[in-house]
Amino acid sequence: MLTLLRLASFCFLTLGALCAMAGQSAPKRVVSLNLCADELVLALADKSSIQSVSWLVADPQMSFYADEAGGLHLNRGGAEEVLSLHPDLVVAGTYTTRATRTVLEDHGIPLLILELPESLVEVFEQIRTVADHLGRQERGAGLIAELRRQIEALRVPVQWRGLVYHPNGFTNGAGTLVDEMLAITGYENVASASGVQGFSQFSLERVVMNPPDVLVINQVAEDLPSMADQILAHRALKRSSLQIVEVPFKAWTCGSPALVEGLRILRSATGGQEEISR
Amino acid sequence: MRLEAQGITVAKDSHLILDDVNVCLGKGELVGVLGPNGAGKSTLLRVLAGLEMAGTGTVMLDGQSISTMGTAERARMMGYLPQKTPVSWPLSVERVVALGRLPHGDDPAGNEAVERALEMTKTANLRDRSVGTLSGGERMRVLVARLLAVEARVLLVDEPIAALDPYFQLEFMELFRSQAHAGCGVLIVMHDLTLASRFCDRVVLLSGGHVVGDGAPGTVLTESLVQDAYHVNVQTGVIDGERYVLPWDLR
Amino acid sequence: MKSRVLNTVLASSAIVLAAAGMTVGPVDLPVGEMVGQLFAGERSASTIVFLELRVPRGVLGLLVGASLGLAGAAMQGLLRNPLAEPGIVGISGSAAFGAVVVFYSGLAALFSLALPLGGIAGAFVGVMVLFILSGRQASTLTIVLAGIAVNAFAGAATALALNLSPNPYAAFEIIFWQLGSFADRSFEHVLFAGPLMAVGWFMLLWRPGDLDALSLGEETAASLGVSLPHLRFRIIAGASFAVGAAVAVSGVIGFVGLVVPHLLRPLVGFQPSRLLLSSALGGAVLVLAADIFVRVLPTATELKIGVVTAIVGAPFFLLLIYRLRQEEV
Repeated sequence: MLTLLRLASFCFLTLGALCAMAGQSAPKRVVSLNLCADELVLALADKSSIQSVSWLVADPQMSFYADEAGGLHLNRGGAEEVLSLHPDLVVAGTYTTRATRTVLEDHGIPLLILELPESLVEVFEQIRTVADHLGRQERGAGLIAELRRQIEALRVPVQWRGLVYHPNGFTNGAGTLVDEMLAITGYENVASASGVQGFSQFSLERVVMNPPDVLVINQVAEDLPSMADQILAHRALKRSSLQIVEVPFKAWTCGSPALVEGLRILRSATGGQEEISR
Repeated sequence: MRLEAQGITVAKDSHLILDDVNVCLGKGELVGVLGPNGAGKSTLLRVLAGLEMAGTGTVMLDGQSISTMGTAERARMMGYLPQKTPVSWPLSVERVVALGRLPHGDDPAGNEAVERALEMTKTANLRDRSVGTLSGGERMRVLVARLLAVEARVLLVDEPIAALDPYFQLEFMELFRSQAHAGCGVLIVMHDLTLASRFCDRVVLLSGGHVVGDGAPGTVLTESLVQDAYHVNVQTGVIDGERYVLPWDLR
Repeated sequence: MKSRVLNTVLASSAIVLAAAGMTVGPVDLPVGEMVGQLFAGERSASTIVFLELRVPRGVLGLLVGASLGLAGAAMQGLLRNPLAEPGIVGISGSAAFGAVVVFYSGLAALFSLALPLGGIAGAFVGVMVLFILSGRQASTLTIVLAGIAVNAFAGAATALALNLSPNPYAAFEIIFWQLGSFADRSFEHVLFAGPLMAVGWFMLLWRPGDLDALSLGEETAASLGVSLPHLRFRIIAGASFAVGAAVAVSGVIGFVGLVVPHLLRPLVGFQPSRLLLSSALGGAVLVLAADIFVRVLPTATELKIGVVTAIVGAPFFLLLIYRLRQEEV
């Protein structure tokens, strides 16, 4: 009789623990604090479990996921606001303010920090990590598989010279996600070939001397002037005959599935093929 | 050459600085403008020079109102030396004197005029010295040389000798007298009663914005007029035919 | 020293430095080949780099340097104070504010002259405020204090305008506006700012004798035929045009108008009129030299030229203040 009781309680406890674990591995009140985190959370989580996303993702100029964010509470990332939402998981980026992070740690709220991925491998890892934390491992795996398929469909052998030129003369050199994206879509990155590492300045003179076939410009916002954009309108670039293609900011700032759109645009500059429906 | 001011009235903050003042200056005349502090002497000089606008009244030079005269022409005809002349940069004496030629533009006779001015004030030997390094007397001579370099027909000078030692006081009065004899009209604001008495052809005595005396020094610098204007008693007398007027004690 | 000699030396130095500057840059240009191409009228990457990047940079350096030096000398002549300088008294800062407002509001994109005109308007307001604060012949202390006030306000207003701009890059660009740079300037900048700077030069160089007369005080100057209101307006407007247009295309480059006139003054016998042209040429020399320096310095990102002029000029400024305060005592 005693043994039966022990067995029963053991089963009960284990079951209870399993249930508890199951409950723990599926947060119900997810709060996301930055744009890139928002996109992954929106892509992976069940919408009913999302408590709040950042205000940036609701701007169609900032993100392809603006529609998905419809109806959700938009936060501004302040510590007070986050606490008042009673989250059971907070996803943020490395640049989220120290103050907010400290407050969350003090209150014992689970915090997942996402770094900016520098390669596709890191992008997939990040999707897996977020999926794990959200308890949506299957969904994560599915998303990764779909992304792989779409990326491979756009892959071509390297045959053109490309350069990404940001306002103020910055470019993405070797070891960056954008560099990899260029390689996938058939471009030799003029910057990495010239030895530029990471996100650095690349003088306009060098652009003119080693002109790419396609100059890729990061379009920040429509019709808003900045000193930085002036460089892109420089006569020196106009005189060199090169094709200019604009990739909107929202297509490749985060390592989210939206980067496929960025790849598509890069590919289209060299006569890319089928529309990949997002 | 005749400078005539009539009915000059200047008011500032409802306080009358000059009240219906008439003054004239003819060719070859050395006229002294005297009066206690605050009588309006400097203001009168500025109005005559065209630097300050009178509320009412006219200033005519050779029959033409100076307000209708062009600035450049007026600058050529009338030379003005203010009471305080700061020199902002350590310019050389020669450059300072040469500034007197500005109203004449780029004329070739300019250099000679500058040389003459330096000669007359005996400052030729100082020509390369920086103005900032000069003594008070030397500085005044340089500024007077600047005035003379303009070669104007009318010289309006505001208290040039007050801070100079007796040697220079006498020398300057001689200099102005010789300028008058050369054909200029010279009007000097001054305080020294004896020098005015000895050197001026005419004296205008201003008090409280009014002209209380205008004529030969002997008729204006009388004991009673001086007493009323300056509130001091004077001792007067004659030495070598020239009259001295010495302030003696307070009234 | 005779003006002619001094000015010839300065002008030659400016030309030499401008030419030298055109040979300096991140890319090594094949000079021989390129010269051949230039004469033959051929177009190549090298000629594009040279004609569209190096040459405008050199020309702009010359124009801006001349404007700053000339404006400094003229202002010092008018205010009769050797510390009057467009940067110190806040005119450059105000010009930057004017340019920033025009630029980030999108006006400059509508018509390009709007940018230098914005700088000019800003500079004009700055000078007016300075005059109101410090009066006609202000003491050193008053000028410095008035300048601090104008600079503080203009700087804050500029930062505010940049932060309010919806373009996220704007806030970072404050470094350009406050420290100045000739990087990536094009011929367009020369074309729309150059003529306006020239208008300023014309106004400042007209009737130089007036400033000489002013050294004897306002009354003497007036008696010598100088119209003081006209003179003041001319210098104010001229400095606004020259500095305003310069800052609009290069940001604030400080201390040029302080260092150059001060160094050259003894060489021109302290005469304000002679100092004008010499300071223009000297300003060009200083700015061109500094611009070569920032390009040969092995830094990852090109150093802002205002940093160089500040490193030279700030100690200079302190020394000047010290000396002037001694004299005023």
